[in-house]
Amino acid sequence: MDWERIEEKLHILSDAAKYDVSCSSSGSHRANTAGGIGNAAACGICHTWSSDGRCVSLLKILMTNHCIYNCAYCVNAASREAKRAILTPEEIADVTLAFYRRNYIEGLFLSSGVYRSPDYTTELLIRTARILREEKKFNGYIHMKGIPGTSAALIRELGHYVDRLSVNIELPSSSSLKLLAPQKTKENILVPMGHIREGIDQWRDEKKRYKKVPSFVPAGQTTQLIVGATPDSDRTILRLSQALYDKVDMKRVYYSAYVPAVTGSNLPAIAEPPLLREHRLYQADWLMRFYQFNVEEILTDEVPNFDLDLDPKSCWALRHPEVFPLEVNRASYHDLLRVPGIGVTSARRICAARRQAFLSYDSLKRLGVVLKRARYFITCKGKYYGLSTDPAYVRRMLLSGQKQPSAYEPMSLF
Amino acid sequence: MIYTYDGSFFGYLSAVFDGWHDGVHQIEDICLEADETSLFSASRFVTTDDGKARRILDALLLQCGPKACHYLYYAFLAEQKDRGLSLLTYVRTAFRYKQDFLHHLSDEPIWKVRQWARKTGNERHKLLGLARFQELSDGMLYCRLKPTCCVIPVMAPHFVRRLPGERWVLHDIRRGLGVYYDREKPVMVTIPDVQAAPELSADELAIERAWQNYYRTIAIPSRKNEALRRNFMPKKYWPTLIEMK
Repeated sequence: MDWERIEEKLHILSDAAKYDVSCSSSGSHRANTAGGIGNAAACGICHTWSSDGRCVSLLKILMTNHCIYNCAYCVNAASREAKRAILTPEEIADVTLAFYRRNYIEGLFLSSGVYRSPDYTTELLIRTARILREEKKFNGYIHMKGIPGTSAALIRELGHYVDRLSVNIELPSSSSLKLLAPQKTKENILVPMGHIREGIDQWRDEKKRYKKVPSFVPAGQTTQLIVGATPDSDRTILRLSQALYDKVDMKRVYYSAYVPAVTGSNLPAIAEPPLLREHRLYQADWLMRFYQFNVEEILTDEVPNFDLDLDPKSCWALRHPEVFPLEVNRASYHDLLRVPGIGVTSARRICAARRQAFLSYDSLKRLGVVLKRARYFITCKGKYYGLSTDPAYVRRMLLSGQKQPSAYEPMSLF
Repeated sequence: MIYTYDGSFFGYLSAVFDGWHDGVHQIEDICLEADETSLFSASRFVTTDDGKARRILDALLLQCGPKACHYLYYAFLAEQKDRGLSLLTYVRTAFRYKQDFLHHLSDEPIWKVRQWARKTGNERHKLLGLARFQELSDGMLYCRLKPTCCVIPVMAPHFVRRLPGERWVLHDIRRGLGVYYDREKPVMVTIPDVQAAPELSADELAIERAWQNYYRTIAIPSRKNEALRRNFMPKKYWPTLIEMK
């Protein structure tokens, strides 16, 4: 293979794909087959971290950056002047295997601009997946994009080859969509999601009845929302995520701080991507998925946006002083999850450990509780270890104990 | 009495077995052969006996469950300074609790060993991602690593599952140890220090360049965050990474 030409194409196509956030390789445990190469680890494995601190787990490229659409926020928009390239399905398969054998990557994340038509593009994606799975007997992780506007039959076929499918919503409301991506409609995006969900449901159902069923998107479907390109409030974004988790059984919603890579009349002029806001959205997302929070609790009509100084869980706790302090030796698992400084793991450990003996304040630390925050919200054997339960005081203490959130902000010396 | 052994896990367990037989309270230390023994105490070298080691492991498995064995092995691989006696205390504590072992995980001797086991487990997981193979001219895949804990033996099964049709070597350059896999089963080997770089296959450098290029391109410049990268990927691993050259 001519690696120099491939390198040049890879450069163009990975440069165009880098704004896609998702790079996880978890949730699927595909075993290797006889004579095959690769498997998928259910926990997911990160293979390297790029200089922006994001993990690189998959070979994240576009099949092509030719696109018939002209979305204002996108670097690959049809009217934009850019170097264009296309990789054939055979080339993609070869590159993936070469990288995979050397343990550079965990698998392939293939996205694409819409080339000629959505169906035509999806057919090319299917061909790539088929070469990898059937010809090369590749059993590593494959994540592919569902192209908006693809027919149901093609989505169904693609789903049988890949581990994860995702359709990006990008813009969190119809009005933003109309403004920045006039050729796309809400239906266009939501319909393929529905097809994927139906396929997954059917697969799960069949698995119960028959011994061997071809898998269908075993790692579930995901999507991505851009934060900061439109005036939508955090509440709008979070409510959309909640709806996606409830209605289409989304595995994950990714949030991407809008990076001003392109300029346009409809786009906001911002100097820095809103990284802290993105971080808060992820925190809230975790609260919804693992901490049994509801979106209406996290953000209300009066407070439609996040407090950038304090995390959403602490904010909720400060708004609800009537709930606290909780007695750790008696509170239910559900209630423990609501305490800032107690996470899923430590809440589970508390529930297990208190069956043996009463928990003392000192033993909490060993269970993984962050007492720096939790002390203001709990009592232990009836004793309260913070100085006062007054929300204003607690807020001051939480803020003073906090380091600058440097890990999520670009560092600068000047 | 100071018991010495050859440095292997089974060697250690054999020493524990013999020490136990002679009476637990007269064990002063269990250490490597090469360690200097003190002037005033006698030392005895214990030859590795798989049978003795197995008896301890089987009993531990039967009485305390698989987790107890897992912690013991992983903690041993963490190669902490006072592992000789700490692991012995751990085994004794575990045998005292028997079925109740899992309810006493926060007891000091068990807690300490669990922390060590976690250290090894974490490094293993990290290196499963950060290991980089190079294809040699004879088609073999060769990987150099310099891990803090001795993780090579516990990494090998992952690659056996993943690359069963390849011949590969994991080489721990810190310890001169390696795992060689010949498409059938992995074997532990000692690899002497070789100065000459291995001969690479024809395409290898071009593929490495493509990977380096990809790695640099995929980062978003306006999100640059060196501290976060070092958090996930400590600098001690950089020398064996192709993209960081």
